[in-house]
Amino acid sequence: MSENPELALIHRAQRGDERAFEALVDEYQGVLYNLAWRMTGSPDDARDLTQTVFLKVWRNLASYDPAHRFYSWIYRITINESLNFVQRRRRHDELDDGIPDGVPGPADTLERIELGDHLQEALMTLSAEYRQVIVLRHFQELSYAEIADVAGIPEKTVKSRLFSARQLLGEALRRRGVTAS
Amino acid sequence: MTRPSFAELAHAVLDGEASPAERAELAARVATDAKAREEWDSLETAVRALRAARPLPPPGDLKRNIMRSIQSEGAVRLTAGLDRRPAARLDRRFAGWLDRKLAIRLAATFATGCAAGILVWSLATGRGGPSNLTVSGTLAPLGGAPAAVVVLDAATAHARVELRRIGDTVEARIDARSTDGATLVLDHDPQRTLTAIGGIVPAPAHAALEPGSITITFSGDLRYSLRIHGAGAGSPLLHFTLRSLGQDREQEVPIPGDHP
Repeated sequence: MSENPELALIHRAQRGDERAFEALVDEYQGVLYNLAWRMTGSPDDARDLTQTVFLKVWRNLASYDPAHRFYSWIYRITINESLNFVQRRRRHDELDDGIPDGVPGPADTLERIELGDHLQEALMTLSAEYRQVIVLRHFQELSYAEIADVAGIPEKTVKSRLFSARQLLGEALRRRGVTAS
Repeated sequence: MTRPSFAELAHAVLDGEASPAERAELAARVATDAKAREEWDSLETAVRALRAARPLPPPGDLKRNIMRSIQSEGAVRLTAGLDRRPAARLDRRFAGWLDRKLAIRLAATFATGCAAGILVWSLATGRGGPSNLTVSGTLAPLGGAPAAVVVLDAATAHARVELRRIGDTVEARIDARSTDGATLVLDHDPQRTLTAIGGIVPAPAHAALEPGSITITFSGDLRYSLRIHGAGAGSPLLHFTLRSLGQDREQEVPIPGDHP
């Protein structure tokens, strides 16, 4: 049976083939960049994090176990790097996060451009654990089981976190004047 | 049977997993219970906003920067029978206090120093001569547009060498491919010193160094960089030979910017 094309690339990259690794970068740079962006709220930080993640992936390719899905492995690295980054930033950064939570904005419907800003702001009001499940579920479209695998938590916890996270996100959006109508 | 909670019903509907009966029950609860209606509005707002969100295109230079950092990382993957992954060890040891970018720069410098040391040792002692030195890694490029390009085709092998010059250093960037194995030889005046070598060499590949020449044996894809120092020293010519399946192709080029 022929080898899965992605696995073939991974095996070549594990042997030091940069071109194979470049193909993996092509495949995953967009999704990892967006994952990091949604987790950190900053496109600049997301760019740096994505670069760090790929460097880490390159360094640790030898330890990748093909019994697990590759995307699961690299999502996990991205999530962990993002969580560490957010934690460091919270510890060291004295700057205000941006728009204070709870200040109502003008009445707004789901206009995409404005909503994009409100959504990211609202996401950043959530704890990193809640943000993580929202991002994996809604932006990466993972199932509960897949989220559990990536986040390293039981599926039941994924479900309960997602319930709370959606509720809190909705409230944060509504405080910004965004409604579902 | 236990009646599902409002949260269970609401999330089943939002996830598209609810039955028609569950949908009807949720609608009834939302219509009759103000608290349920408020919660539902929040959930619906969140999920509709998330569905409307669009991804951000990654920066155009992201891939290039990633590959550069990978290549810098490769710079310390020198394998001369010593340590296969010094970069990882270096990073682990100093990760707590070394800035990552600084570590990469230090690693590249370290690799250059190692390569130069190995070469000097090889040339001085005559040990580690032909076929004993296996090298993989990448040196930070000198940059600039190529001043000369050599293209050779011999049987099933192809090689393209770009020559760039900065100051008294000339970098030869080799991009070659061979399906059946090939040898690329660079002859230069022994008065010039080849102080650093590096590249991504698919195993098995060898770089055999002798005063005045380097012979690279490879199979598959080869990307390799050489640096030659000594402006104006000796002959201004570089001689390239590509051998594959008994065929030889040769080309001699003047060293860019070298005018004795």
